[in-house]
Amino acid sequence: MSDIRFKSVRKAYGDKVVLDGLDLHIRSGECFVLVGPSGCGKTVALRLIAGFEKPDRGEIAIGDRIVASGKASVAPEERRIGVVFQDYAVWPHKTVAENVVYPLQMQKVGKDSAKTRAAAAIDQVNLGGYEGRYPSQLSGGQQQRVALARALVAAPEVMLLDEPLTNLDANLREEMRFEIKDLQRTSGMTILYVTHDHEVALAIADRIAVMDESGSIRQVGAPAEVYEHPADPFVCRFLGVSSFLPAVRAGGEYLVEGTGVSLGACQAPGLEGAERVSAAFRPMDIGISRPTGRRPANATVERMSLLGPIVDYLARVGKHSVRCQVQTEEAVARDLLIPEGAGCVLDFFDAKWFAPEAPAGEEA
Amino acid sequence: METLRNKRKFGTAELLLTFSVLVLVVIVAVPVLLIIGTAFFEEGRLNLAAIAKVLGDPDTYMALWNSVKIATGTTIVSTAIGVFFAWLVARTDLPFKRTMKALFLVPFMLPSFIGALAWKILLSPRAGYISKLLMGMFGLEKCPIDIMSIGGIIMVESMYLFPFVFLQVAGALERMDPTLEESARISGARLMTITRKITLPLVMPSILAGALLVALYSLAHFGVPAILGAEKGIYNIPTKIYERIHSSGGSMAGIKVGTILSTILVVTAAIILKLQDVVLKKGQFQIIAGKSMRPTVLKLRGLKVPMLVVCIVYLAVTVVMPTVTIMLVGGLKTYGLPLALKNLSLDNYVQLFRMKLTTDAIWNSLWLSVSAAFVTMLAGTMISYVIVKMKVPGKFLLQFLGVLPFSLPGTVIALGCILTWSGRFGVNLYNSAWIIFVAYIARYMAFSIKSNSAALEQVSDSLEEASRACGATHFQTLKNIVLPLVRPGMISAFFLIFLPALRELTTSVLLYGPKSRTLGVAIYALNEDGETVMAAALATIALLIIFIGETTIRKVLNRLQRQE
Repeated sequence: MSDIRFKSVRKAYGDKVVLDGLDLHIRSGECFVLVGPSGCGKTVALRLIAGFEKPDRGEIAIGDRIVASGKASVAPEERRIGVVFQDYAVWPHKTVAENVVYPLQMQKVGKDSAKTRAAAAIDQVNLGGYEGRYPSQLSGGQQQRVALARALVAAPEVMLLDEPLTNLDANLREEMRFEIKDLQRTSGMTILYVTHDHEVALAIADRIAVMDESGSIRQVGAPAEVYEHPADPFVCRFLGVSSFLPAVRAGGEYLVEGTGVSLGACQAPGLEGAERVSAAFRPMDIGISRPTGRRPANATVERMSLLGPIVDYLARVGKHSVRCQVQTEEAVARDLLIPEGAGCVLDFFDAKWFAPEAPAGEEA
Repeated sequence: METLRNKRKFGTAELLLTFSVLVLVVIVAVPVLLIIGTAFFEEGRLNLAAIAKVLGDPDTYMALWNSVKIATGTTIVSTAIGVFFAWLVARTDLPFKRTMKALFLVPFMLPSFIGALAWKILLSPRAGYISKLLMGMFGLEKCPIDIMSIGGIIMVESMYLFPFVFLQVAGALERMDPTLEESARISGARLMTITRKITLPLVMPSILAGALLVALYSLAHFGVPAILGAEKGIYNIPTKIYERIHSSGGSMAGIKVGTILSTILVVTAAIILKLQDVVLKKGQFQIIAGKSMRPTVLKLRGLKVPMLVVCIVYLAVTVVMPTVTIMLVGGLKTYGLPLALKNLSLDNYVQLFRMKLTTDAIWNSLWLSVSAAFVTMLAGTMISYVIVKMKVPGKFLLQFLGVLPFSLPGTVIALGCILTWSGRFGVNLYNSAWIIFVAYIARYMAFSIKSNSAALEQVSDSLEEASRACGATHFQTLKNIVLPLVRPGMISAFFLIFLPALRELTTSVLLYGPKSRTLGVAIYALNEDGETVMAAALATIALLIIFIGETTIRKVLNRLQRQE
């Protein structure tokens, strides 16, 4: 059993406070993704678990072992964790086999057993046949697999991954993220995965924590829950393109500020009956169609771009811009390749309601 | 849950830090502080009167003035020669360019005091071979060229220091983005205009950097002025310090004058280094790209052959002729005999290996340079690790102490070592070879730290962290990961120290005892005693050792590079 707990952990570098009273619980055996903009302190949190940094205050426990408390701290080598770094960190002077067997050597595992286990780990990441190569003879993706095998080989109960896919190209990234997920399912270890990439986060997480620039966690939950029910506008924006519209109450429904365009009724707890609210929409939650005699235009197309499988529109409602997307196939079938400057009809579904925001240019 | 206590109070990190601080304080900080202390204080009180007295003394005042004249002259001449040849090699269609480029670095291999010895043999006013030739040819009473003058010193120093400028400028010219000049050409500018308005301003920082390096070196240089000037009463600061300490038999009074002059040297050197820093920072134009490009090349046409002849003659006169002279004179039966075959034999060389003084000197230089290079390499690796990789308070102090010796002339380091290691702190190394050993460590520490820091900066922190996460202790990580990865930096540090230490004169001449002469000191001493022939013979041996050393090392380094 290896859960990870942060208890009011504080970490500052000089005057810059990165984490201030962080509380976090990563459950045993889950794939937990800590996601946030760059520089938000998510990597620091990972490094604190690994023992590369020491907290200024607070307590960190792995399983039933406190690894950092106040000024005292267990050295990284005594924490029994696997770490995969953004820059792979495979040792250039060691071959693939030597890289992978190293953790076992350090743990004084017998030579034969170490060899078998290293070979198994290398097979697990599909690098069989590359044992004798040096990292400089491998591609970035292969190097990252070596790093993965090295982190796996000692069968740690906790595995920490710090943006492991950032330096890989798009195809490899997709492939590798499923492999990581598979490894976690079969091994049952606890994974903390740190990234700024919300797509990877949503794809592999059992639970996601969204961290903001000041190092506080805004929301923790299952990917679908966090995506569909973001706790606040920050989380909503961070997890994908979203358009924010200020709205005013008109009887039982809300209208886009300064227009008669309806956004529907608001059921959000705490906002019932509010005069002004802010409504957020994912691009797919806004429908677009050509104006007809019965339904005159309520918006103007400002830009239309064909992005392969989808068509992306930037449309203007009153004084506000929104993004909206339609499958290309559907767009062609329904004659929705609307020229720029032409009128269109927008329909709004599934609004996410928030308290009104300061009126800035609200488009993610 | 078990509670957590900090068991480890003193781990590998603390050990490294303590050791690094200790080494730098003992080797660098204490000697420097003692020099300043001795210069400014007497019996615990600030004593500016003594300083005024030393500076007011025409003897020291002249030395100061000579140092300035020699350094200025050498800088100007070296820069002119260096820039000219760099331009020829980098920017014209000179034949055999690659070979010529390698050949222009050969003067680096020839220790300048051996060069000075050769020129004294060739051009000393009455006895010099060339002087006699010229006097005979033109029926003159006196030779028209007097090498034993400030002009002569400048000429000889420039011959052996110009590669500093050559290297810097040739590198810059080769790396310069040719599109800059091409675009000027497309805009209709003529070649002369381009050179004046585009090329020259772009390489100016490199020219200045090389020139300042020459100035720094010349200012603190002992060998050439000692051989060509001292006899005629021409002293610069290093030779004056040596003269004062020697004539007073190593007394405190002599040392005191030495410390005051040293302080002046250190301040001047610091100013020069600061200037260089400013110049280089300003010169960080983006135009000089890191990769090699093919620059536009000026067609020499009819001048092609004459220019090649100029290069060859220059090298023949400055390198081949002095080397051959030294070798031949080393074989003469008596100094002054014509350089004819019947007067030559190998007897001197045989005798050299029978004399305790010379065999000791060869042996001393060899073991001192190997051991000092080895120790300095290790200490430098450790200190660089602390500076580059560890997060410790007060790191900047370590960094400062580590590169400080770079701006300390060899004479100053020697004085600092005398003050530190003559029993003041219970250790008396004076007159033993160990004081030279300690001085070499201080003198070359900056080389080691530079080379090792560069190698360590290439080792990303995550490589170490990965090892720790794999269960390796800090010590195991250093041994298994860090050391193998910085090995190239360590090896190059070793050679960067070993070669100059092998031919060192400036520092060891102030520190040697009866049994601890180095190769440089022995050659110098033989020459001082009028044993010119034996001095030349020993210099020949030294040149052989240096040549063999350089070529094997180049081979080793090349092989290492290919392995990378």
